[in-house]
Amino acid sequence: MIILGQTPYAISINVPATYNFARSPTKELLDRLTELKARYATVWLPGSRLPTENAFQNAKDFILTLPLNRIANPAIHVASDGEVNFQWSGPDFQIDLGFYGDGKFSFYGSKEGREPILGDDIPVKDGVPKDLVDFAASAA
Amino acid sequence: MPQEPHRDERKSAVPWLSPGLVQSDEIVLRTLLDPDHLEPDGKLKVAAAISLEDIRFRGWSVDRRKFTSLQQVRLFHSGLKKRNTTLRKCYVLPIPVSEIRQRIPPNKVQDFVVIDAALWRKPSHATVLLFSPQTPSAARKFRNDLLKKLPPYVDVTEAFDSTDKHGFLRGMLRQFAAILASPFRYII
Repeated sequence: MIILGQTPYAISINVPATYNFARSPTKELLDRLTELKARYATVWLPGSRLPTENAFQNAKDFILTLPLNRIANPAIHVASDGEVNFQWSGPDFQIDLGFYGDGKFSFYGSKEGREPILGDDIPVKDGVPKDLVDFAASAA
Repeated sequence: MPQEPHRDERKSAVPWLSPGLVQSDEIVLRTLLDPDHLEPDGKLKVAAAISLEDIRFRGWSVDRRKFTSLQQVRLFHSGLKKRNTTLRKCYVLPIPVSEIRQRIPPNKVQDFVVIDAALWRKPSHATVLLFSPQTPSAARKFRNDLLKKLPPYVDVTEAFDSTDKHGFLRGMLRQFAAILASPFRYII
């Protein structure tokens, strides 16, 4: 509201927005975890194992560390050995990272013209390694 | 740490049920489930289609085409669909064993082995495993490499031709022969 000469005027301005302010990348990822948890609530594939509650929790904690303003959302899947897996892929890079519920994660990242990077037993609280962010940043 | 699996391609994991060692000129079939293993655009979900524990310890299950049949694979698929009604369709990946066993330059080291792991009344069963024990991160690298070698998946009917009709029967006959030649014949 702008006060002009003691007389109150309300000025409203309509600006066409091309950005969806309601969209939250973090919420999208957390919703995806909820969806997977519901889908994989019972074992039906012979010899398969469901992800533990801890695996989903580790994935959730990890999501909260992701710099989603710099990198695109990963694809999240569940594997038959109980892994909650995050994948980023682009024309020149690939990142494969996953959780089994022990509070740690492992990853493999490759990018054209760069040495591949690998990591095992990384505590979830440490978040995503900087090198991986650099790999994935090109996808954002 | 799970028990170290059998990784020696020169020996069967279950000799008393074995129809024979897996030859490099064979084709093995891997079942893919839609939507569990496939993205909406049809691409393979890497981790869902090839689990780390499978290639590291348990063995990634495949069927040897020459010891199974269209009917047997369909039977397996219909069993899966009964267990999970959200399953849309089952496909198969027809993979040449030579591709899996390929030795990669410059070191010409083999990444994966294909082991005969026949089961009772399933002589076609074989497993794909990493050539040697690997850390989870290295296994992730190898599975991404394996994914690049895989052919496109097909409808199960396209994976068999007219010469493959009696694969299951052939496998069962060989399995009976293996049982009769083993000490287990006294138990049976």
